[in-house]
Amino acid sequence: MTRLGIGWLAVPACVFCLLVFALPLALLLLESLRDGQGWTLDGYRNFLGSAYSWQVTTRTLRLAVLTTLICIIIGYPAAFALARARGVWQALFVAALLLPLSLSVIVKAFGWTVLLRSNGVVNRLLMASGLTDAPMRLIFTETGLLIGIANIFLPFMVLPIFSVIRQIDPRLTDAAATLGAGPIHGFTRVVVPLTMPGVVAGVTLVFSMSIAAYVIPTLLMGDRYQTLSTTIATSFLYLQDPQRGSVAGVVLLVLSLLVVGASVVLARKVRATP
Amino acid sequence: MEAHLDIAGVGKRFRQTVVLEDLSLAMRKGEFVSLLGPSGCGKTTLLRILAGLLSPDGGRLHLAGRDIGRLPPHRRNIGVVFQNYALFPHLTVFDNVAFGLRARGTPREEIAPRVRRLLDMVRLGPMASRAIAQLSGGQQQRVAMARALAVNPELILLDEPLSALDRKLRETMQVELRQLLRELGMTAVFVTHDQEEALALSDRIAVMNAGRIEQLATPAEIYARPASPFVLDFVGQSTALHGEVVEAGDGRLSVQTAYGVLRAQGHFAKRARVLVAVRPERIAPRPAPDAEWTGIDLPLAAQTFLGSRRLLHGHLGGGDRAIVELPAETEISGDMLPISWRITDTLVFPAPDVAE
Ligand SMILES: Nc1ncnc2c1ncn2[C@@H]1O[C@H](COP(=O)(O)OP(=O)(O)OP(=O)(O)O)[C@@H](O)[C@H]1O
Ligand SMILES: [Mg+2]
Repeated sequence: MTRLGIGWLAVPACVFCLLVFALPLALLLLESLRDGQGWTLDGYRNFLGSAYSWQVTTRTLRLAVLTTLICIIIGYPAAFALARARGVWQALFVAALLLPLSLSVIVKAFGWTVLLRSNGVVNRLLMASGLTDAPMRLIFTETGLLIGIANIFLPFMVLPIFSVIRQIDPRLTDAAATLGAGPIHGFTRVVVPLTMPGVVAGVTLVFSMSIAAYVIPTLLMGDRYQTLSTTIATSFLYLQDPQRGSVAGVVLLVLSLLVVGASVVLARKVRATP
Repeated sequence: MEAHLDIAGVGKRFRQTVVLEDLSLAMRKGEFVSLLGPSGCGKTTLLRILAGLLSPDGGRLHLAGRDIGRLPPHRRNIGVVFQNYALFPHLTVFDNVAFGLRARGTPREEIAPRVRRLLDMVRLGPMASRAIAQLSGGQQQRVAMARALAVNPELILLDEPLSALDRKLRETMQVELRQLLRELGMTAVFVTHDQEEALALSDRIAVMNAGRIEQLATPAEIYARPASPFVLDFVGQSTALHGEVVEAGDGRLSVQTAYGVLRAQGHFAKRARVLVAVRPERIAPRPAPDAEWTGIDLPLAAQTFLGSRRLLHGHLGGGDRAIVELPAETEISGDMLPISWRITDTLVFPAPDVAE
């Protein structure tokens, strides 16, 4: 087959993406630059001038960054454990990671509201282990939200890293060792750089999902916890203010792209460091 | 004189399978020894044990007077060129070669000149900033060499470093590799299952079979005086006929084979089952002229033309084989050829238990 011939296979996907993603995005952008009278930057002026908007934006950003960090810290070693596991164990671990994905986010978020209640499983475990005497307030706190959201998005960090680890030739670490690199040097200079593509994929997935998360914060924190997503929803649905909603949408998009882009650049740097 | 590398009584088994059996090998400084053997005979396993990547079940390892048996790989100072090289795909040629120096904390200002010198040595100077994926197989092989040599190891282990290259390139690289190691006075263990490569490069060859060294000797001796039917068969070609000793005495034998009585030298009891063998270029296409020669009438099966030489293959049964090497211009006619060779060129082995 010629190159051109193969290229045609991508046409349906391109058309689909154009219609479903690019077009609405363009409309969103137009909407954010318009009010009843005509073209204006007022939407952005109002948004950036409002302390409340800044508060919502930094809160959203903090939530997404913390979620992503927690997922990296827990998911990176977990991906190694998964890659090292043999036979049945590996199959079990993968199943444990994949099965929750078949549940709706709403179900999982409700699950966490039950687990995080003052007489829920989490508090009972904490008290039984002697870590706390009285039940901790977890539900409707940011800690509880982070526990829940990180748990729900964890598979999206573990799986890409796991699939990259599996492709690393084990002889590369042998080679590093014979060249005089102790286990730590070998790990930081060979294994970590080679897992970077997986980390970037994981960060992209988890960050862009958690910055845009709507259901989980709403269920675990209630309506008063406003994020960019909930702002978009309230603007469109209750306030009938499409300009404000569109501006929040554009801000959300720009933040996602910036952070994901930064993670790509950072990962390239780590990868190329000798 | 103390050996530079001394392997004593090393064994290794995986579950029930014995992969290395009580293996010993001593090497001088600067010596180039090939491990030659069929696939699965334990060559890579032995290299991994030497490098510290695999722990043996027993035995001792000494390198340059140090007991290295319990040292982790990064403390052994042994360079390894892996099968298919195992170069770091995320680093440039320069950084691959510099890896070992950086791992050892070599001062920055010493690294660059040393890496450049090594890259020049393997003629890759202009490629220093290339990515590994942009190199040809032969260039990758040379990066692997430079990387292993950069840290100035006491010993270098090479696991079939040329097997991924095509024939022509392999032959040039053989010469280059040998020259480079000789200039550096490097002690090298070279794994191959290509007998020609082993014969061409080695100071000594260790022919391995099923986890043991069958023979350790110079290439010339391995070829002329193989220690067992396995070595005879694995290194070079040969005519080999099964038979029974019918007369023995004074170190002289007469052996009854399916193609007549052959005379040979050796000490065997009468009625002993033996294998009589001779190398193809020792054979003349004529009947034995005198009592110093012995021979048979050979039924011919096929000829192969090799440019300067011609190979005649015998049509024999019952586990016997015959091959004769003659100058290409020799005229052969008919399907029966009288052949003969000197009694002193005859090799005699106890017959292997199982005829293959
Ligand atoms: N980790 C392992 N577990 C079980 N058996 C193994 C292991 N590694 C090697 N073996 C077995 O040990 C034997 C020797 O393997 P080894 O890799 O040393 O052979 P080799 O001589 O290098 O062969 P080749 O020429 O094909 O590379 C083989 O039969 C192999 O199946
Ligand atoms: Mg091998």
